[in-house]
Amino acid sequence: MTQKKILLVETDDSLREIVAYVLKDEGFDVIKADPDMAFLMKYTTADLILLDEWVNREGGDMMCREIKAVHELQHIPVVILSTAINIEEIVESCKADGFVRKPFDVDDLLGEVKRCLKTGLGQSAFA
Amino acid sequence: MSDVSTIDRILSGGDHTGAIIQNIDWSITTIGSPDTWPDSLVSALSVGLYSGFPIAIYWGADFTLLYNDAWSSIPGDKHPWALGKPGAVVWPEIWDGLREEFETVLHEGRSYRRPDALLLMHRYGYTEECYFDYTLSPIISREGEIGGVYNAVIETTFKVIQERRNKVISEFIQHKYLAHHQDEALQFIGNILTHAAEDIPFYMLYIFPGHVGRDAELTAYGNITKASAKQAKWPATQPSDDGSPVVITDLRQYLREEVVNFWPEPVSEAVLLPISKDEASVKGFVVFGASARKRLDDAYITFLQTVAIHTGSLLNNAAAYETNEAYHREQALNEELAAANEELTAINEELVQTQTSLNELNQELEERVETRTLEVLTAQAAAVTERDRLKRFLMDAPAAICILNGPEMNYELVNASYQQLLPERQLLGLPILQALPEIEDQPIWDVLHKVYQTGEAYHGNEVPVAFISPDGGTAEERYFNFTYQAKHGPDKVVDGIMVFAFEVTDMVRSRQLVEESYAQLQALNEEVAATNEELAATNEELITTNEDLYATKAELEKSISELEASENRFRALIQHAPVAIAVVNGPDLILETANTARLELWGKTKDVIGLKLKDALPEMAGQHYLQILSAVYETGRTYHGNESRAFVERNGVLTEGFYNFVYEPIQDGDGQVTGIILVTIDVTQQVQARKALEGAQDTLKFAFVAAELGTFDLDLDKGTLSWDDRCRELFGVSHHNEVTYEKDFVNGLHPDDRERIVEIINNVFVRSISNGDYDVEYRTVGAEDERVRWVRAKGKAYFDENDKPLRFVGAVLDITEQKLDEIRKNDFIGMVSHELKTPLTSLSAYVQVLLSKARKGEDKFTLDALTKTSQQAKKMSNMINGFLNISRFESGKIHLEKSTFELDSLVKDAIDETLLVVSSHTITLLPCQPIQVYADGGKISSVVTNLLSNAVKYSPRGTNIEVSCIVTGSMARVNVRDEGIGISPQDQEKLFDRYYRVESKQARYVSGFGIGLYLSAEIIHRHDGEISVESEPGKGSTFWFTLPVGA
Repeated sequence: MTQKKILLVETDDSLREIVAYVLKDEGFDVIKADPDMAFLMKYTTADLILLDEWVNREGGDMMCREIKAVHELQHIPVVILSTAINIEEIVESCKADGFVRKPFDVDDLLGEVKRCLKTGLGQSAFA
Repeated sequence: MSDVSTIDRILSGGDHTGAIIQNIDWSITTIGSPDTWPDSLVSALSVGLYSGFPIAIYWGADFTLLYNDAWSSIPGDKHPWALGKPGAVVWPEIWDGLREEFETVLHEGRSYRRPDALLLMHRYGYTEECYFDYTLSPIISREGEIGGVYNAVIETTFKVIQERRNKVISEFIQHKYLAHHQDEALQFIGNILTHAAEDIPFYMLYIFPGHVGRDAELTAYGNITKASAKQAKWPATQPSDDGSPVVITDLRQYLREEVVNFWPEPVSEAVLLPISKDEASVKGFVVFGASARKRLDDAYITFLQTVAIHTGSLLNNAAAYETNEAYHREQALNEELAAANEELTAINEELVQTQTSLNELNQELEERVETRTLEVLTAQAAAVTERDRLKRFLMDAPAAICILNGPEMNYELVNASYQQLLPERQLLGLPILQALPEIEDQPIWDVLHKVYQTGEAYHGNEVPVAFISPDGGTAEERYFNFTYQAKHGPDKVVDGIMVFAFEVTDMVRSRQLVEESYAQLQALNEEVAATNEELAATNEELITTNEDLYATKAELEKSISELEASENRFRALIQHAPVAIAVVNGPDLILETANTARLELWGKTKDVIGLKLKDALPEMAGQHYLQILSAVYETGRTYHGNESRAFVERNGVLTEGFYNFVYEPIQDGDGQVTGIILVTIDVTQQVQARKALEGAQDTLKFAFVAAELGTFDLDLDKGTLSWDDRCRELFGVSHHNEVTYEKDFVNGLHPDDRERIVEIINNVFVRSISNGDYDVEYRTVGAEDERVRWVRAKGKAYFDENDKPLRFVGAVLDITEQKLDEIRKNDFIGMVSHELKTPLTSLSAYVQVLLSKARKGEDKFTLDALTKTSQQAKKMSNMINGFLNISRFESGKIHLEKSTFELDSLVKDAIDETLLVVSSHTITLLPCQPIQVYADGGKISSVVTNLLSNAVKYSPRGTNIEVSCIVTGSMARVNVRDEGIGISPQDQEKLFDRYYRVESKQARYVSGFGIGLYLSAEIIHRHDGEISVESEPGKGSTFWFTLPVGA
């Protein structure tokens, strides 16, 4: 199996680093992006996007919506990282594929990423 | 003077220019022909013509120009025309700026040197940016006279411009490695280029995105409008393969708007250039505008090319730095990890501080909301009291008053005095035609209609109304003075009539009687007169016929006695009439008679009879009644007064009163006025009653305005809706046209609130569901101004005996400010929670990674420490969630997810979970029967857990906590009893308030924010249950809550 590539868009520097570390440790290829680099998403070739809901203060869900509106990108699973209590509503409205509530259990984060990678592959293969 | 051959020799040495000078006919210039030229000019010219440097001579008062070959390139296309022309003619575009210098050289002998002076010259068909180093010095003759100006020039345009361009390049070189990411690079580029507008009036930078095959995207631009930049379409979307520039000479074709920058002429040329070579990671191209005042020559293009390449290398260096930096950051990670523990401590402190300010904020907001609510309720109560007062007033008023409502004119209100007018009739609630069918054919019905349609009040005076007794038998004609006043609904449309009536049948009848008797009297008088004539005519007969005489005499006596009887009867009638009557005679208005009622009204005695009216009633001086009487006497026309104000002296006090009256002239047989009958009714009480009523109405309106309350009134029978001005304002409606429920109300609701409010109103109309009560908050979107407003509406529906809704009325209040405050508060709390959680997330993730590493190692202390750190982080996370929950509870966003479950099992599970982490106490569950409830299990479980953890926190180690469940009636009750420190009665009251914590020595070291019980209470109340505590300080507490039983 080839190494899966994850685009990690997270505002908080320190959190971005540790999440990247955890993902790399699990064997993923990780591209890190701070909010200024978030536009990278539009050109990404990643297999999954891990997206902070508060990118550029509150635009994470908007970005997810944009990705899901672009034909070439919409197959890429998006997992939202969020502190919001009503995260389920946000995820539903922006059509994200999964979410992890902050603060999270590292195992939960990995579990959700793997789950979404599986379903994401299924979609692109059969859609 | 010089001879011609000398001059020819000098000129022939001057190459081309000299030859041209030779050919000019100088005699027609101000200098004159060469043979007249002074020596000083000839010497200067000889020096000039032979010099290799550009030299010009401006000779004479008009500065006629002569110059050498080297100078001839300076005027450009103007050479050789310029030779022999005055300076002002050669340089019209710059002469104004130069004249002064030239004049002071010529007249004062001064000299100048100007290095690198900017002269904008028109040499090649366009205005050009040129720089010159020049000197001006006087040409002085042997006699000391100054004949002209000697001008040596070097053009420095190339040098000046090249230096300037080099500065731009060196700016780029200085910044080459300073940018650390693309944004910064773009900022540097923008700064440099926007300051190089002389040479680059505008720039646009396009960068190719990472994906191959996509078009370059406009990434930055300067000195050009956004619209122009976004819409620009260039002839090439790629720079040419060999990197050579694409020159655009017809810029107007590609740009929406002309670019004018630095120079006044619009930019007409631009150059498209690549910014990097193949191997660069950032690729793209730039479009640079070219100066309108410089030729786009090779040097210019080379300069632009250099700028483009530097732009590219700035961007590429920034990208390289970014990659490098990312690598360094990863290395720094380990150090950061070490700092994490310190951060944990700092965060703890931060949390406590934030908590304090949150407390303050919430309290302040809470107080403001309460104050506002109180204001609203007070205003509503005032309005209701005012309404009641008004109604009571109407009912008790001494005047006959009724309110006819709607076009059917239903008797909506009938007061006692009015009902007394028609004692045998059923009026209230009936349309007027049903209550008084006989009026349909009478003029009064048309009058009512007219008032309803026009809204104009109508005052009727002695209007006859025929009443037919209900059995259809006898008809009775009665007279009324009345006022019909249109009643306006909140939307200013007439919706009823207010009737004030006063029966004047007696008065009218009395007057009619008086008039009748008087007519009889007149008839008798005439008869007497006729008899007299007859008497005279038959005098002779009288003398001759005694019998006749006696007969006639007897007849005469009879007539007189009849006359007397008639007059007595008349006086008696007047005297006892129930209305005030008086008779005045003659032009002096001598009071002949006044009845008791009249004297009472005037406050006078019989003594006034026989006096002139103005003497009898001295207080009438200055009031207009005596003038009216005089006019009636003169014209013979009857005068009616209606609710006329008069001041009458009674018992020495001047009293204000209102009167209806008739002044009826008395005429003799010839139509000559001899006196006036005055009939008056005192209507003071009625008028005052009506005025007070109008005042009360105003007060009511004022109360509504003061409270800023709008009102609405939906008549379900007629399907009409009325809104007052304030209500219209809240829906953004400024007109006064008719409004409807669907078009104006439903459409005026905010789309997000529409469905909810319409459903609530539908329920308001079902008595069994709502009892007609209505109390909601919603948003409106202004029909005209499209403003969003928050509105609180309160009202009530009224039903008939079959529970069919008839009317729906109420008030609306603008609560926009209050709502925005609430939203701001919740946003703030949400934001704070986010800010707290983010570092916590990162902290917790690091700890987890460390923990998993520690598990693989041998270091037990590290493992323990990290396990505890992890638990603490979780605890902190729970506390922050508590805050978020509060803000969400208050904005009504939390929904209960109900299902049927067994409460006893849930309690048991909660105890088991608590025991996993608590070893300091024992918890016993008393035997409990299965209890089914329909509730949100997750939330109820958190309530139980909260009560248990409170019990653990506030009771000594080693004590027991006893839990029991019982069913009483339809409610299930869960008790949690501890043997703890207990709670004082005053604390018990506030225990369930938000952030409340018991202040005591024992409790000081117990952690928590005081949110748990507040949230628990919210959850239980949402389930229609109760939560409370029974406690005695020192002995322990029992916390309990109840929930409705059932699936």
